[in-house]
Amino acid sequence: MSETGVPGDLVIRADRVTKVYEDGERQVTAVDGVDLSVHAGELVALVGPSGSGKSTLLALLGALTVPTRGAVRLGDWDLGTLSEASRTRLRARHIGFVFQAANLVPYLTARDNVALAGELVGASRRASRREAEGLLVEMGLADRLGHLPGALSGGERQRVALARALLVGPRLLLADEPTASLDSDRAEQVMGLLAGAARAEGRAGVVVTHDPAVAAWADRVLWLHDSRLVVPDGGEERTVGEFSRG
Amino acid sequence: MTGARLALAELRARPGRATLTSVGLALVLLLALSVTALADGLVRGSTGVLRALDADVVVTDEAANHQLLRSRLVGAERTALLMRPDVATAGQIGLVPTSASVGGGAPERVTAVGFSPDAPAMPRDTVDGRLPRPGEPGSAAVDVALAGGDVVVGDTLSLAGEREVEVVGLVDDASFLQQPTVWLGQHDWARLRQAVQRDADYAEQLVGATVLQSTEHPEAVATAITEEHDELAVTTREGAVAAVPGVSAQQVTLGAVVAVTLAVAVGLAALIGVLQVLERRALLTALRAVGAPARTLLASVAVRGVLLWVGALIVSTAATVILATVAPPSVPMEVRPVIVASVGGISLVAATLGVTAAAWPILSRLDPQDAVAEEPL
Amino acid sequence: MFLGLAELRHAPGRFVVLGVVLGLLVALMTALATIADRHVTDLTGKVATSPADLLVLDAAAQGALQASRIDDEAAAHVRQHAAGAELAPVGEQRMGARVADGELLDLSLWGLDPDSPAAPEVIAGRLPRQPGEAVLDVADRAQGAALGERLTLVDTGTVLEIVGFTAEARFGAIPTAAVTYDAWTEIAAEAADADPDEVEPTAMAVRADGGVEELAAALNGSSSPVQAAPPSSLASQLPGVAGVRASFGLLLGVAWMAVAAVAATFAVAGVAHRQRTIALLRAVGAPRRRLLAALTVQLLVVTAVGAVLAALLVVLAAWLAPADVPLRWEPGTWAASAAVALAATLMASAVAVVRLARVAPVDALGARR
Ligand SMILES: Nc1ncnc2c1ncn2[C@@H]1O[C@H](COP(=O)(O)OP(=O)(O)OP(=O)(O)O)[C@@H](O)[C@H]1O
Ligand SMILES: [Mg+2]
Repeated sequence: MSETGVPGDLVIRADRVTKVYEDGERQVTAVDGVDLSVHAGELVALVGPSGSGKSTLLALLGALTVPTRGAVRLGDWDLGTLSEASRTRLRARHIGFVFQAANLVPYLTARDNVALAGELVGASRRASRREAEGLLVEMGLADRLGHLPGALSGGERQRVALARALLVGPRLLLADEPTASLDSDRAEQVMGLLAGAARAEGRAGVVVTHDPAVAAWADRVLWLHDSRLVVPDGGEERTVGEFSRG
Repeated sequence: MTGARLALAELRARPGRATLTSVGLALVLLLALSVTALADGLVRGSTGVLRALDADVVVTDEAANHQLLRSRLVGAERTALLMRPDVATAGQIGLVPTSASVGGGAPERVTAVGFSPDAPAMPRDTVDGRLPRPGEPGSAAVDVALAGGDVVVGDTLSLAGEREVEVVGLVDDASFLQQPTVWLGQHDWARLRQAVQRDADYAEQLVGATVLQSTEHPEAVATAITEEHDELAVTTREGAVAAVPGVSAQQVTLGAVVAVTLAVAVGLAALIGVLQVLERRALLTALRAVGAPARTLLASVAVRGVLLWVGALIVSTAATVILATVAPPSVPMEVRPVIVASVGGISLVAATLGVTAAAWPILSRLDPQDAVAEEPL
Repeated sequence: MFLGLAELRHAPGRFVVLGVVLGLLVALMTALATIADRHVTDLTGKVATSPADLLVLDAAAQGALQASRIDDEAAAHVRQHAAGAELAPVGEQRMGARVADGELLDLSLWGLDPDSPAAPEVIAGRLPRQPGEAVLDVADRAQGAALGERLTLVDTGTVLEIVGFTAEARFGAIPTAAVTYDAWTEIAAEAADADPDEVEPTAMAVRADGGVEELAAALNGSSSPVQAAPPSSLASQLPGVAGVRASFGLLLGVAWMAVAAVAATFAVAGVAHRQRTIALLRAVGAPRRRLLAALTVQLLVVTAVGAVLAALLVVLAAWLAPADVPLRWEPGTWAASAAVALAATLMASAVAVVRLARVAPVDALGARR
C-alpha cells in the first residue's frame, strides 16, 4: 500500500538489523537481519507468531535497545552509536510509545501522566498540563483529567497513554499490542485515534499486533517469522485477508 | 504447610533480595543486643564484688546508706548481729580504691577488698589457687581481669606503689565499679588503707560493711534488723547491688534505650511486612487468583519474615560477640546466652506480630481480579 | 522532585512506617549522644570546670581522685617545682547527706577555698566563706536544694546552709557540694575520728604565672610522687569516662549503620516493586538521574519527617524521664543526629542506584516480567 500512496520523507530505517540476546550459555537471535523503512504519513503493522521477534524489533526501532549487528537510523541519527543518555533524550523528544500494559505511572493523574512527557523535554509544568488537557479532551477524556489510572477503564488508560505519546509531537509513534487487553469496540476506538495520529504531518507509526482487526488499520503489514521478515520490506506483501487466514 | 513452602522456595530462588533486608534487621538487632550486653556488662562490672560473696544480707552504717565504699562499720556490729537467731554467720568486708601493678608493669586502678575469714565475706569460688589465709600477710587473691588478664598465681603485686603482695589465687567476675579487685587479709588491707587514706587510723581493723548469711528470708531479716538498729542500713544483696552508684540510673537509661531499639525492630518488621507484600503484589494477586486463600499468603509472608529474622539474629549475635571482643577494654560489653535468648525471643514475637499486622490489611484487600488487569498500584 | 512527592502523597502508608522507624532511630541516636554527654559532664564536671591551670594528684592514684592523697613529700615536691605559682589545696570525700529533711543522698563534698586557684564559679548566690556554708550544683535542685536551705551531713551531723549554686559541676554523677577547705578538713577529720591536722588534701590546684606546659612538665618529672594535668585532660582520664565515651560511641555507630541499612532496604525494595513503572518512565525518556532524584527526595522528606518526630519523642522522653536519667532536650545534639541520619539516607539512595541501573527501558514492552 505504500506503493499506492505518495511516500513521504523517510522517518526510520533498519539495515540488516540483528539482535542477539545472551541468555546464560544460550544465544537467542530475536531479530535476524531485518531491513525496513517507514515513511512519513505511514502506519505499518508488524505481525507474527509469539516469540517471532516483534517486540524486539519495535524496541530496536524505538531506541529502547541497540542492535547487535546492522543499523537503525532515525533521521540523521544512527541509534546504535548513541550513548544511553542520548537515546533517552531522543526517546523523550522524537518517539511516542503506547505499550500493552502498565502504560501509566500509577500515582499520577491522567493529566499529570500526559504532562510528564512535556516536562521530560524541559517544558514548564503549567504549559505541559495545559497541552495535556487539550489532548485528553480530544481523546474524549474531558471528565477524566484528575483520575488516577486505577480509576480508569482499560480503553481510557490506553487513550491516556496515546495522549502522552503524542504530547511532544514525536516523529515516530510506536505501539506494542496496544489493544490486547481491550474488547473489540474499545480496540476500534483506540486504533482509530492511533492511526489518525500516526498519519499526522511528518510522522510515522509502527504497531505490533496479533489482531487482524488492528492490522487492518495499517497501510502495510509486515510479517515476522522466526526473527525474519517473511516477505522482505519492499517485496510483495500479503494482504490482510491472507494474514488472517494464517 | 503451603505458606512455609512458598516462603522457603522464594528465599532459595532469590537469596539476594533477602540479604539487604537481613542486613538492616541484623543492624537493628545488633543495636539491641549490644545495648543490652553493655547494660548487663556495666551492672555486672559494677557489682561483681557483691555477687561473688556468699552473703544474702548487707549491713552498712546508716549514713553510708548501703554504700560499701562509704560504710565505716567495725567488728562490734558483727559480733552483735551474730547473736541473732535469724543470722547464721557474719563476716566483714572493707573496700578501698587504690592502684596496683603486676610485676613492675604500669599501675592500674583497682579496688582493694579486705575480708574477714568468714564464709559470707569470702568469694564463693576461686578460678585458680586460693584466698589468702588468716595470719598470712603479704598474699592476695586477684581478679582475673587485672593487667588485661595477664596475671597468674605467683606474680608479685605492688599496691599503691607502697606494699608488695604475692598473688596466691585468682577470682572471676568480682569487679567493683568497673575496676578489678584485689582481695587481701585483714592485716594487709588495714595497712594499705592506712597508707592510702592517711587520715584513717584504724590499724588492724576492717572498716566497712558487715555481710550476713541469714537463716530466714533475707528480706525479712533485713527488715527486722533495720527496725531494731536505726544506726544501721540493712538490705538484701540485691538491694545492695541496686544501691551501687550508677547502677539504677544505668538500668533505667539503658533499659529505655533497649525498649526503643525493640520498638524500632517492630517498626522495621512492619515495614518489611509491607514491602514484602508490595514487592510481590503481582505474584500474590496471581496466587489469590489461582485459589490460594489470603491466610496461606499471610503465612508465607510471616514465615519469610521469621526466617529473615532468625538469619539476622544469628548474624547479629556473631557481630555482637565480635564487637565485644574488638571493643576497647573500657567498654564493658558482655554477651551472655541469656541476653541473646531474651532479646532474640522478645524481638521475634514482636516482629512476627509486626509483620503480620502490617501485611494483613494489604493482603486481605488483594483482588484476584487484578491478576488480569493493569499493573496493580 | 514532582514524581517523588506525587508518589509520597499517593501511597503514604509505607512512607509513614519508614518515617516512624527512622524517627525512632534518630531519637535513639539523639538520646544516646545526649546521655553520653550529660553522663560525662555528670561524672567529671567538678574537675572539668575547675578554674585552675593544673590539678595535681598523687601519682599512685592513676588519675582516680578517690585514691589520691597529697602527703607532705608530694606537697614539698609541688612547692619546689612550682615556685612562683599560686597553690591551693583541694579536698574531696563521699558522705551521706540530706537536703532539708529529704531522702538520704550520696554526696561528693569538696573543700575549695574562695579567692584561690581552686575556687569554683557560682551562677547563683555566692561562694561559701564561713564554716557553716556550702554551694551545691544547680542539678541538685531536683533534690530540693534552694538558697538558704539546709544541707545536713549525716556522718558528722554537720548542718550547712546553701549559699550558692554551681553549674555543670557535679562529680561522680551524684549531688556535689563545696565548702571552704578548712571546713572540709574539719568535717573529714570528724568523719574519720581523726585530728584535722592529719587530714591531707586530695589534690592541689595550681595557677601558673607562666607557661602551663613547662610547669606541668616540671611537676611530672621522672619518679615524681605527683601527676599534674590541666583540669580538662584530668577530667577525661577519670574512672568511667573512657568507658562511657567508647560504649556510647559504639552504640551510635551501630545506630547510624542501622539508619543507613533501613533506608537502603527501603530504597532497594522500592525500586524492586516499582520496576514496571520505572521501566515505563525510562522508556518514555526519563533519565536515570531524574528517577534517582525522585527516590532521594522521598527518602530525604521521610528522614526529615522522621527527624521532626524524633525531636518530639526526645522532648517527651526528657520530660518523662526520672531525675537520675541524664536525658535532656539539646537541639544541637538533635540537629547533629538528624544531619548524620540524612547523610546515611543519601548513602542509601546511592545503593539504590545499582538497582535502578538494572531496570532496562525495554522492560516496558509486552506483558513480560
Ligand atoms: N531479554 C531477553 N533475553 C533473552 N531472550 C529474549 C529476551 N527478550 C526476548 N527474548 C527472546 O527473543 C525472542 C523474541 O522475543 P519477542 O518478545 O521479541 O517476541 P514477540 O514476537 O514480541 O512475542 P509475543 O507475541 O509473545 O509478544 C523470543 O524467543 C524471546 O524469548
Ligand atoms: Mg511481544
